[in-house]
Amino acid sequence: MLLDKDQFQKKLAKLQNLPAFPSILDRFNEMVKDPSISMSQIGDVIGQDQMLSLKILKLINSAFYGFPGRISTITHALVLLGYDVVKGLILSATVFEEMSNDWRELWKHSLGVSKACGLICEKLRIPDAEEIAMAGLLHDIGKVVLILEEPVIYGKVQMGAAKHDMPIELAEQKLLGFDHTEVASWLCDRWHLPQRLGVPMAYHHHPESSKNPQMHSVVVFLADNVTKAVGAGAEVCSKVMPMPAIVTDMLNINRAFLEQLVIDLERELQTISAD
Amino acid sequence: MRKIELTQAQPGDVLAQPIENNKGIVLCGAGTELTQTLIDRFERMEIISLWVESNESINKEQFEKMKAKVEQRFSLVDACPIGQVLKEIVLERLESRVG
Repeated sequence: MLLDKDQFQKKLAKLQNLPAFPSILDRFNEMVKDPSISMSQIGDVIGQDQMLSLKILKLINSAFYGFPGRISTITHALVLLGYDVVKGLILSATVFEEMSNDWRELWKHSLGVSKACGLICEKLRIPDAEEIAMAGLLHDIGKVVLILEEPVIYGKVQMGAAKHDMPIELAEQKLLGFDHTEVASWLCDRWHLPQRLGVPMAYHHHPESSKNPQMHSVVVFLADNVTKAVGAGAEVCSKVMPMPAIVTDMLNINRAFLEQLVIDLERELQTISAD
Repeated sequence: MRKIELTQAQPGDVLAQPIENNKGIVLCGAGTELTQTLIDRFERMEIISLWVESNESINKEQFEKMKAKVEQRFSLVDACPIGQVLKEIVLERLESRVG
């Protein structure tokens, strides 16, 4: 194997290539746990970091279907979206920012999947749309960290996947002994992300095996596939995957639904390209 | 679609995104065909820019290249009925853009 699983997991505990991240999220976690600190106070503290706040608010307006331009402060975001979703936004704003322009495709793909999640939830009236969209935004965070922490090795994994025309997660398993969904699980533990975000991040390739909330995993799986189908996959995740029976068991989808989803998603994706 | 300044808008352009006031209320939905009256009204409301549908046609050579990429994207779903439906939809939309 190109990487030692245990050693990589230990490396994740330090996450040296994400310097901006630990302090703000750790502070956020501390404040959330303290019952004497109000949402408004938390919003003010995060709001003091102007750059971070701007990124978060821009993310909300890009990623979340139905909220554009209506959320203008962090406190407002906390009230409307809840701690867990805002925590995920802080993560996205800091982690993805560390990526070089070479990997912008992966960022756009993640944003696309987030939008697709929102569209699917809206059309099928699935509850917890913002939470699921957040899981969509973070679903490939394992790949981001692998790219940041082990760029040379992950480059080899990517080349292997392209050479053998296989999905990236299969190449990861063959060459690393683990895949990006396992990395996502370790990160969720490290970052104290709730199960409702962690489960779809871990099971977005195998929703049939997912723990609860299984619906979250199924929606992210479908969103990921449809985003790839319309050409908004990244080089590290471009293959549309066969859909297990759980997708049609749990979601009422037919050709008309898929057609409208493709039309709406293509329209939404054009706004990302214009940013 | 593309984003244009209001000054570039022409009667006949079709809105690709809704126009909202500053309270988030939709004044004019996506799909509305612009008239001079509407454009004048937006000007009085100090709307600066808007999204309109654009005609993104492709030639046959571009189509063949894009079709090959689609085939590659879907290479793992030969035995998946929903996958095949999704592929048909994507290819049909691609074909409709051939100018």
